Amino acid sequence: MTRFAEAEHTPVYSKASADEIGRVIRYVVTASEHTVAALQVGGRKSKALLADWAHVVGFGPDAVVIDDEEHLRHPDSDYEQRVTAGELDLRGRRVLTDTGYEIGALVDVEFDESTGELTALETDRTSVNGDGLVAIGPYAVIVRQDAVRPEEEPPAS
Amino acid sequence: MRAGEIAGRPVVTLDTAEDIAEVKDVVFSHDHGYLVGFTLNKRGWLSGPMKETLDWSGVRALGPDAVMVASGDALAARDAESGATGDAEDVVGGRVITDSGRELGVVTDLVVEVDEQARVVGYEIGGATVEEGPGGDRRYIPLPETFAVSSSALIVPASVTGFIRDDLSGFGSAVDEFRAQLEQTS
Repeated sequence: MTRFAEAEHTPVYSKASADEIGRVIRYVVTASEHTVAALQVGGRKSKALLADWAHVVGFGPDAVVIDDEEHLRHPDSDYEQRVTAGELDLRGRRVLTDTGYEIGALVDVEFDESTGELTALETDRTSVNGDGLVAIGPYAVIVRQDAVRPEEEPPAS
Repeated sequence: MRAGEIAGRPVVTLDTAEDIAEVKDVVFSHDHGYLVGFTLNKRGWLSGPMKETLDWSGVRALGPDAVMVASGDALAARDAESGATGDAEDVVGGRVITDSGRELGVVTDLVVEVDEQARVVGYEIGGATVEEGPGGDRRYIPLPETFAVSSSALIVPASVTGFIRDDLSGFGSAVDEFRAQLEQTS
């Protein structure tokens, strides 16, 4: 398991050219599938570039390897554009349950680096199973109340 | 909970996690006190009343920190045909008088009970006629099952005085007992 914060700034290499093509600067998360859909790779180009998770062949502590830098693409959806512009950065964002309880500010996200699947969301007060993610938006990150880990579950409504 | 506690809560969409409005006031039906929805204010520094309202059927959850709705489609233009309704602000400030002619106090808030449905079940009252007690200068009075509200005065059965509470803990049973007693005497 890896945390978003740990893997930020990790160099990204192209397997095809063996070139360092940039560094991990953000994660595009598909909330409904609770997975990392793409990595935002920052570096030489000023425009935002994404590497889809399907093109990530290795995610290690020292480097992220993608199959070919030709597969880097620009954000296309409105959501991807907002993510790459930093409007939906996860860290520090308020976390709300789907029942309307605030359970803290998001501190970090843990994911399985072999599959891209989110395993946990950590707030400053509690943690939530990764598959409990419902939505990421400008006001909050919404999670299912039944995915909040039991030791610090908010009181029942 | 008190209606005043709900005011100001953000209305948040479950699909896009946006705060699309905030609760201005509760809207309830005059006949049985059912909460039919909420009037809304805009969020942030553009704040001001919105034309749209939120119907209770569009509320997925009423939490202490937010009112959750499925999407922005839950807000709709106010339906003028929805029957006789009132807002808390119409009632707050009204005098509560027993049918034997004693003033109990002035309405300071509405007490709302929430489960599948939400209903106004009582009033919080304050004012000069309410003495300072262990719980402060507020009292909670249960309402009959059917009640008529006017903005100037609220006439309640004199027997309600035995069911007035200092705080909201145990208020639900006071409501039930008061209504059961009204049933017996009617």
